[in-house]
Formats: sequence, structure tokens, C-alpha cells
Amino acid sequence: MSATTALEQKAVVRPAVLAGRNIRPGRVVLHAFLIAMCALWIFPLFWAVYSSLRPISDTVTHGYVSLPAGGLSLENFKAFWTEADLPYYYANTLVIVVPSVVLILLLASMSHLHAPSSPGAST
Amino acid sequence: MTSVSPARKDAPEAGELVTTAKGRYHVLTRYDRRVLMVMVGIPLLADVVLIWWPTVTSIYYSLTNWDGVGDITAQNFIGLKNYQFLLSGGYFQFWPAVAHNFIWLAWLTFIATPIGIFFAVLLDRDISGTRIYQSVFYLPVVLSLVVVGFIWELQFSPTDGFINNAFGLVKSGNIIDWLGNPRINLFAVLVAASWRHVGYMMVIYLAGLKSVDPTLREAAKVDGANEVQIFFRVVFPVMAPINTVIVVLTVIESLRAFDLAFIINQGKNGLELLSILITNNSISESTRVGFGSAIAVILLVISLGPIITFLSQAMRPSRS
Repeated sequence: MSATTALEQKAVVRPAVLAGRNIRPGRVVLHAFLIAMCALWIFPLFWAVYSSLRPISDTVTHGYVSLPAGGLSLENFKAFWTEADLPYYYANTLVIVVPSVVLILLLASMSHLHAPSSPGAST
Repeated sequence: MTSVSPARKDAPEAGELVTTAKGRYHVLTRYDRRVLMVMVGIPLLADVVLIWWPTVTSIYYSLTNWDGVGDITAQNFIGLKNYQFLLSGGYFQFWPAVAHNFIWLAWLTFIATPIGIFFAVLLDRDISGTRIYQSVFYLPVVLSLVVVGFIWELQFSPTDGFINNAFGLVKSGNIIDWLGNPRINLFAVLVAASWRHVGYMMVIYLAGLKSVDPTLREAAKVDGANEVQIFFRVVFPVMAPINTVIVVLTVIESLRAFDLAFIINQGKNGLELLSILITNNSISESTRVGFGSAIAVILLVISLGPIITFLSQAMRPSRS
């Protein structure tokens, strides 16, 4: 009996400690580590976005790994938006996505129906 | 009980014992059974036609030297010669491709997956901002592998890539051709693959960790176990089903690796993979459908082990 009450007490006390009135050094290390890892993880993506914002004239003269001397612009996106055959690609995507989602949902939900006598029917 | 409604007003309720013409009893009415047959039959038919039929025909093609045009005649049958040629090393890309697939597997198993599990364990505590951390690690998973390949080319490119420039290798003239050197390009591609795989494994493991009964941890803590002991002695064993899923997904991911290597250099010069050899032989470059099918069958045989493990784990009823 006493063991149970100790457990309950602990369970009650714990969230209060976790709410963090006193900052524990372990937490700081954990956050520092996670932030560093997140920075590492997001960097390639950031770099791709950064590269996409630079005009071609700028990267030709200064290389890709350089500060934006010519400034950043959305020129590349504008060109892509107007010159690429976007409606065609979107239509292609829809032709693949819509039937696959509909068919997968339909067939999967159908095959999930078990006979009541089979094991695992009432999932 | 299922909620299939009876066909007629006087039909028996679902679940009631029904006498058939042969005098046997059935739990289901005839209408119920018809509905079931249709609902199980259509997906089964799709499965057989779209998956089993191509599989069986692949095995059949692998015994021929068919070039994909015209009918297969008796002269096309060459028995196991395709396999003989492959296994004896007559096709010089074959054994390197097998080796690369297994290096891929080892890398994901021993490096990427443990990192994902580690992140999941760290993020499972109720720390502030855990959602943000999770989103960042999961971000690469939602990107198409084509995009992942492009993003990493910006990092690995010899003169314009970030890595060579950041370490001053371009200035000093010691350029490392990360994606061109056949001795290292596989590992450069594996870094890109891991970037994605870690997030994938993290999310699956995190979902599993949420299902672990918290009282188990409390009990272990009361007994004086530290965090490491709690994880390895209590949480990890309890997670056995998820661990199997993780291992099998990792194996499947590495065996079906294709996109990244193909985007970088069409899977040549150090990036040969079984899936790419299949494509090269039976679809694009040449029309050796029979030969390509033999490679496909070998890949199928390698894949069967993990697939069977995965299915038997996934099909097991959740309440045991």
C-alpha cells in the first residue's frame, strides 16, 4: 500500500518539477544539442533556398558560395512561374495523385472488413 | 459485429445462426457473405493482377533471353544461364551493385537508424519546443528524393559546392570530388540518404515511445534506475514490435534505394545499385528484359526475408 502512495505522490510531484521553476543544467545541454542538430539538419535546405534567391549574374561572377553582392531577388521564381509549363505539370500530378489516393482508401478500407468470426475482427 | 444490413426485411439479423440448404449453420447471412466476397475479392484481384502476376512473369522472363519485342518462343529459353552469368561475375557491375546495396544497408542500420532513435528518445521527454525540433528533423522526409538529391548536390559539388568552399579546399586547390570519386561518392550519397532516413525513423520510434506505459518508467525510476538503464532495460524490450518494424523498414529502404544514386550520375562509377541495373537492362539503355528480370528476381529473393518478417509482425492482432 505504501509503495502505491509513494508512486502516486511522485507522479503528482513530477510535473511541477518539469514545469521548470529551477532551470536544470541537463536541460540546457539538451536544448543546446538539439538546436545544434536542428541547425545542421536545416542547413542544406536553407542553402538551397538561399541559392534560389540569387540572380544568375551574381553566382556566375562570385560563385555559389559567396555573400549576395547583387542582392537577393525573386527573379528566378518569377521566371519559373511564367516560363515553365506549370499547368501541364500540375495536371500530370493530379492524374497520378487523385486516383492513387482514392483507390488506396477504397481498396484498403474494403479489405479491412473482416468476417465477424475471424480473429481480430473488432479492431 | 459488422453493421451490414440484411437484404430483405425477413432476412435474419447479422450474427444470427442461419441454416443453409445443406443443413449447416452460418453466422453470416447469404447477403453478408456476398458483400464480404465482393469487398475482399476486389482488393485481392487488384493485388493478384498488379503485384503477383508481374512477379510471376518476371521469374518466367528471367529464364529467357527475351528482348521485350515479339513473342517468346522455345528458342528464347536459356534456362538458368542468366543467373550463371550474373553470379560468375560475367556482368561486371553486378557484384559491386550487391556490395553497394549492403553497404547502404549497413550504413542505415548502424548509423542513420540509431541516430533517429536517439533523437526520438531525446524528444520524447516533455521539453519545450519539442514540436519545432520534430518538424525540423522530419522536414527532409516530406521532400521528394529528387529534391533531396539536388539539395545535396549544392553541398557536394566540387567547385561550387558549400562543403569544399567552406573548408577552403577550392582556394587551396585540394578539391574533393565528393560525387565523382568512385571511392567516396557512395558515402556522400549515404549522407544525403541519412538526412532523410533519420527523420523517418525518428517519427516512427517517437510514435512507439508514446505507447509505452509510463508507469513502467515510473516503477524503474522508483527502483533507482538511471535514464540509460531505463531505456535499455525497460523501454527498449517493451518496444520489441516497433524495433522489428524499424529494422525491416531500414532493410526495405536500403534494398529499394534508387532515386538518389540515379539523380547524381545515373548509377554509374561507384553508385551501382541492383535497382538501377534492373532499370538499365530492362527499360532504358538496352532491351535485355530477360537478363534484367534475373537481377530483379535476385533482388526479390534478398527482399523476401525482411518483407515476410514485416508482414508477420504487422498482421499480428494488436491485442495479444
